[in-house]
Amino acid sequence: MEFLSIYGSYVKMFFKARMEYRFSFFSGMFANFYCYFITYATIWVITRQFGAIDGWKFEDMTMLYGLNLFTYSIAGVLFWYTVFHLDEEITSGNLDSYLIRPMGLVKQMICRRFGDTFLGQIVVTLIFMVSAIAKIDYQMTAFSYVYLAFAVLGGVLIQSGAMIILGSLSFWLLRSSDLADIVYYDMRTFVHYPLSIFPAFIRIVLTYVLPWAIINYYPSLIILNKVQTTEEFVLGILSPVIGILFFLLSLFVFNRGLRRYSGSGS
Amino acid sequence: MHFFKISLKNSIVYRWSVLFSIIGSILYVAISLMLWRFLYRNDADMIAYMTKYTIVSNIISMFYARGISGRIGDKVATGAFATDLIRPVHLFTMAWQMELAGICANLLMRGLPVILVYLPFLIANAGYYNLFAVFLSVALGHMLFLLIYSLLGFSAFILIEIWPFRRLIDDTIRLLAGGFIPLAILPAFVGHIAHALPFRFLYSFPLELLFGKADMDKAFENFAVLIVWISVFGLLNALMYRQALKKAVVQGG
Repeated sequence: MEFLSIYGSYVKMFFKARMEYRFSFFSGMFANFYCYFITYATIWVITRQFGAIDGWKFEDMTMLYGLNLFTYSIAGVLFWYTVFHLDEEITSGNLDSYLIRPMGLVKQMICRRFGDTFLGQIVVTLIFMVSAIAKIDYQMTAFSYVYLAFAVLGGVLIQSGAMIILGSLSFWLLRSSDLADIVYYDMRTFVHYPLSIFPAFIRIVLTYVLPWAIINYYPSLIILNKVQTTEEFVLGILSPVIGILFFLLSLFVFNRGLRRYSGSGS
Repeated sequence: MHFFKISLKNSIVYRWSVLFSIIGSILYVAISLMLWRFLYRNDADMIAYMTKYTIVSNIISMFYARGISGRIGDKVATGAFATDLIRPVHLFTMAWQMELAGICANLLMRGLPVILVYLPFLIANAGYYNLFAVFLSVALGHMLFLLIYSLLGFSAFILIEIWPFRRLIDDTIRLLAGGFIPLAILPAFVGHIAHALPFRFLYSFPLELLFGKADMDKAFENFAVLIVWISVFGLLNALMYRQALKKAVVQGG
């Protein structure tokens, strides 16, 4: 609770400072809104031209893409600017200044920068997801809504864990952003589409090696009533648990890396 | 030339970054190919066409370097612009040379591997046309792209933070230039918007020429329109630069 109160104070201060440059603040938010609006428009163009992608209509695709983007945005608000870009904090020497303060390192980094630019993504995703839920063929039940909430939680934890692990690699590599671009951004592009259209080995990699499909694909199968195998059902239903485990693993990796860190200066 | 050499060296100094960017480029093309191959799974001709379209469009994208907006915009925002005024090289020329070096490094380190990896797809049933016109259109497209983004860089005098606007242009290009989705499959009203904007000259026009989808009369007309767009953006850049010089106040002894 104490941390939440401190975080609240930081966010308040952040917005006060940011509001001094209102035009920059709102143009940044709008740019992110527009960027993902264009992505949804691209998906719409493809599904309009081909009817559906392996049985996934525009509304289904919106749910699939939306779950990925929504969870990414929430994790991004907390971790993207600082923890995910830990290499910048290390090479600039800023990390040393965190270490002499009494609060935990990850908590400090969360407080340091509120990811305001992700708000535009959250807004555009909510608009499209709510509209998709209203239009999908399958009737959403109370279970679907409860499950959706847990799936979002699991997704946020996996995305946050990914940002922490990939940022932590800087403790070993000094510069991890290029590796993160491939492992996180490029590989996650696969889960913008139904995994059923890709070869089996990609499905295995994105499920058991990099858990990106558990963020949105398996939960979407359950929400949209598209589950066909027991494996899909189990992976979907366990996504919040996998999220918790992955997040704990990421904190473990972060702390191992921190133990190895010996400062950037002379 | 010195700016070119320095920038080229900087581009290849991080070897791991180079390796990761090669893998990233190959992966990006692979994802797009898998999608198109699935969507056109019942049409072998369209699969072959979209395969070549995707690979060539990815290679063309390497000629378009958006860094110039940052190079100019950062100098404006930090005030370093003032010291560039006393240099014998124009700020635009300096930034352009650096971008050209980046493009050369990109072509060597990302373009070449993409071509080598996907060579079998590129030469299968090869049907390439108008190669000279294609190179000319990409060179003119490079100029157009450069002028659009340098104008954005100079607009930092007014906008201060330019990244949101760079993103707006990036994303508009993503949908309306024909780099990922051919303009022919856009809905009519989106297609009309794409045709009214200059971005289609970056990807759609060279690709239409390369695959023989544009007749010569139409191609000449398109070249004329492209030159008009380049002139318009060149003029806007010159105006913006002159206005900036008039208004800029440099402090110091």
